[in-house]
Amino acid sequence: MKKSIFASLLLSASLFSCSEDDTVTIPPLDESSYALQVALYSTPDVYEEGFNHQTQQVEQVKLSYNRQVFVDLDAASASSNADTLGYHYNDEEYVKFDVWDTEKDHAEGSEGWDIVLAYYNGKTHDGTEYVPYMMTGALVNKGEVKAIRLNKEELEAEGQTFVSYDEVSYEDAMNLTLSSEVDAIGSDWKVLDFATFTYKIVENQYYIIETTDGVFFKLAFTGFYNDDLEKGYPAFKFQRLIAE
Amino acid sequence: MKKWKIDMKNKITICVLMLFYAVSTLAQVPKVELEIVDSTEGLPLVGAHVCLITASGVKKYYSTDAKGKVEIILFENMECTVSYTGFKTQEIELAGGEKVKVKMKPDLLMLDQVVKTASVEPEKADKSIYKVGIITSDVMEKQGVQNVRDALRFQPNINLREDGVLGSQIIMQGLEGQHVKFLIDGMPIIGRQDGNIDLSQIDMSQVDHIEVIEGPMSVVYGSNALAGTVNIIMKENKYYRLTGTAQAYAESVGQLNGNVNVQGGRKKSKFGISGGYRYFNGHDMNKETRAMSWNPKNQINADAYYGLNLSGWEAKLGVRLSREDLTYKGNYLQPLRAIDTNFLTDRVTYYGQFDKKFNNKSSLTGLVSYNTYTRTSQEYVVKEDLNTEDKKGDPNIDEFEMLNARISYGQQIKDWMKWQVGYELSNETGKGGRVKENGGLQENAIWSDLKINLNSNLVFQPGVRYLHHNTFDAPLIYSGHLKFNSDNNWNSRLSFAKGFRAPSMKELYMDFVDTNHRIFGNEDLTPETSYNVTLSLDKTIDIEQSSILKFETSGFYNHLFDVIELAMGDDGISYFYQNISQKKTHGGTFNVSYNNNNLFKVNAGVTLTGIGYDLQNTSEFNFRYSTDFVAMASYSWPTLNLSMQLDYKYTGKRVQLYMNSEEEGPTEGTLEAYSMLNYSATKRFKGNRFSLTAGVKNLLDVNDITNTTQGGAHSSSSNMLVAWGRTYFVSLKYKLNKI
Repeated sequence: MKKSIFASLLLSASLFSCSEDDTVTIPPLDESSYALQVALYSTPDVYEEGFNHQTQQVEQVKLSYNRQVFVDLDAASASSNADTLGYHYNDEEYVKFDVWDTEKDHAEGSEGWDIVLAYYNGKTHDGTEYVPYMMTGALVNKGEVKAIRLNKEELEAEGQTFVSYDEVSYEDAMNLTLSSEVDAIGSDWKVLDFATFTYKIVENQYYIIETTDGVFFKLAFTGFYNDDLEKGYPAFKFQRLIAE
Repeated sequence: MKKWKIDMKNKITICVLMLFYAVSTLAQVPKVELEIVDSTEGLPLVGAHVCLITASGVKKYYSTDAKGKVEIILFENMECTVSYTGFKTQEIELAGGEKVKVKMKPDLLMLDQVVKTASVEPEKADKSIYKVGIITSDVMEKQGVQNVRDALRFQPNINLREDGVLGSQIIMQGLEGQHVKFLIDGMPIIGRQDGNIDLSQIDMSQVDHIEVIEGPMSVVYGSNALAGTVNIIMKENKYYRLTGTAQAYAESVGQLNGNVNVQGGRKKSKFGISGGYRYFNGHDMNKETRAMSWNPKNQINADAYYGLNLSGWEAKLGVRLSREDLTYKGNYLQPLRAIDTNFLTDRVTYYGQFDKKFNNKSSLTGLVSYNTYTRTSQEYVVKEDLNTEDKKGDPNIDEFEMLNARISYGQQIKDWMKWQVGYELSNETGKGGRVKENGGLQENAIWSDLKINLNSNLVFQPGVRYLHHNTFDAPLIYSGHLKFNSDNNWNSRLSFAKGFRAPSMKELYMDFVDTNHRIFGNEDLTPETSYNVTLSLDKTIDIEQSSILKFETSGFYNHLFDVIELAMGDDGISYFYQNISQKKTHGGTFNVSYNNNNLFKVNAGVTLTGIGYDLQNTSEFNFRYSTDFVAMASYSWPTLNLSMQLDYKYTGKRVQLYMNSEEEGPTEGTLEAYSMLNYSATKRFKGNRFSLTAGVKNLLDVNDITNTTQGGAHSSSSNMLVAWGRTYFVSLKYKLNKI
């Protein structure tokens, strides 16, 4: 499992080292595995007024995440990895995603986009109820795309069987009830390691996604850092599930 | 370096010449030859201490040679005390021109061990109103103890916890490290992370003994001394013109330690200098990940002091330095690429102290220490594929400083009454990336206690501490101690005490916000307070002349109020320190020990600890109990200069309650039970100048235990670190004394 993540990371690393663009051309088979890494940061820097707790003053604080990237998984084909479209914070098309606000939980994006990687106002559980909290993760195209998270520990705690990312089949996916919530993927594919303040990818967890084209994909996150170990570069692998 | 050697040689030559001169000029003065032997086998005691006290109270120190003999020059009839570790101190009257053979009897109960905690003048352990647990350097040498963690490992009522970054933490009487006071020679140790002092950072090579007192000592020592006090007493040369030790230690886990110490004394001055280095390569249980369970660290420490005795005023100035360089290894975030965090922990202490004994049975002692603690953390981007390491961002530096001054006076007012009074000032400042700007914490306190001998068997000591603090209303602290000794070897101590813990700098002024954390201090915090009752009872039975059997039982009760905890704010995201709950702990120990002539010792004890959780603040305590067991056996062959020691501790299953969510109510989590077993043997040779200790630590190979409670800050899994598995160690010590 780990080795395959590393392998795909290596693949994506080698792919990205030769191209600045988010879209990379490889000659794939239809049900081959694709790897993608997108940038949630780009120049120019964006500052917003906020309270800086280091200096104890209200001042201009630099945004760590100032870019959002729309991904069309279906576009992955023999000639293309997947279609991506990135907007910078200063772009007119940039949407300040907010899952609490029906005005801001959807976007035009690129044609037929399935998921968007973004910094958004999401939901976190405080022990009694859900409360708003800014987070970094993936939202699905509202009303068009459905998804479900499969986590080994959770499923086994509920007495269900967990089928690994490598072994999951189209039939398995068909038996699942997918959620149409905007944050069905969300941000909890990574957790903060309190010792080092770095993000770890949650192991034994992946997502099944039904895309705008009605195609089933399996998708697993593999990283959150670029080659210089700056955060905000989510990497994931995905693969089309096909009926046998 | 070479030049220094020549200088040293010259100095030694000069010293020797001066010695000859001194001996030849004093040849006509009456001399006494003392021969000091042990009473059972008649073996000479090498390095026994002889102290002469003149009528005017001036002290002179001597030490016996390889034949157990010492020659003393008499000016007048003097009082003379003879002491040797493990034997009862004897007082003899000396008159001129004779040979005296002193037969020393073994001190089976360690009654002659002098303790310093909470007393203006050092006093014998059995005379102390407090029940003082003593860990001697002899025991620590036999156990291969390298730091405070090792020393406390087999203590009843003390449990240890490990964290990959924060180090070793203590739990005493069921209460965590923030409730325990740590002192070195009576001076507070600063630099708490998450409330705890990292016990693995404190070097043990220059320690004479450790005094452990359970229960609050807040009257004398103020904040933190709530669950107990650990006072580390450093070695100080009195008897030798020059004494030195060099020690090397290796443990199979990848730990290499070395230290050197030189102390000397001439006429009215004395000095000491020491240094040590400890190298640890890290230890990992799960090789699949890059992160390590025990991170690599190097520790270095250096100490120096100079002392002077001017007409009975003993003064001492010193400095103590230590640095720990620990690297937290991060997991791979990309193939062969990771972020490491380096933590540099620096401690510097400058201190000065004085003692004076007056003729009217009173004494004065003063102590000033200035401590700094700096912890610097710096992230590095490590690219193992390119073999590079680059700094990532700016370092985070936390700096704390504390000035502590104590002055205390004790007077024997009547034969049956002794009075002590003291003043203590402490001034603490702190700054750093995660600490709000603040005006510091300042505390002024006066304390006093009165030791009253109600009759020959019963002693009563009430005490009170009044303090003024600049940030909160301080409570009045008081205590009452009662000690009973019967004529037929029954001893009992009963104490009632109020303890307190002042909110720490971080609890008051923390300000830590990033994308995932919002943790704030609270300037409105009040001190935690507690009530403690401790009762102990022991009975000693003399089986024959040189062997005893001792039964001890003790019980404790703690009730803590306004315990400071991190609680979620109304927004559901931020956390604030708040005075929230109450906590109760109670428990007891029963211990049996047998000692035959200090050659064969066996000890076994059982401890029961109950911790009461009042998570919903309803004053209803859900107690959860745990049982621990300790055992020790040691045997010595004096003719072979060989001894062996076996230590065992069973730490029973811990059940801990915690709140998962308001709806679910308290949830039970458990920490699995584990056993720790150490074995070691010590051989001394060449007239006790060399001592070699070799042994096995953690024979049962315990690494971690299953933990279903909320884990420590740096535990990545649901397991809790206990120890680094079975290891073998060897330690060689060389000691040189010049009388």
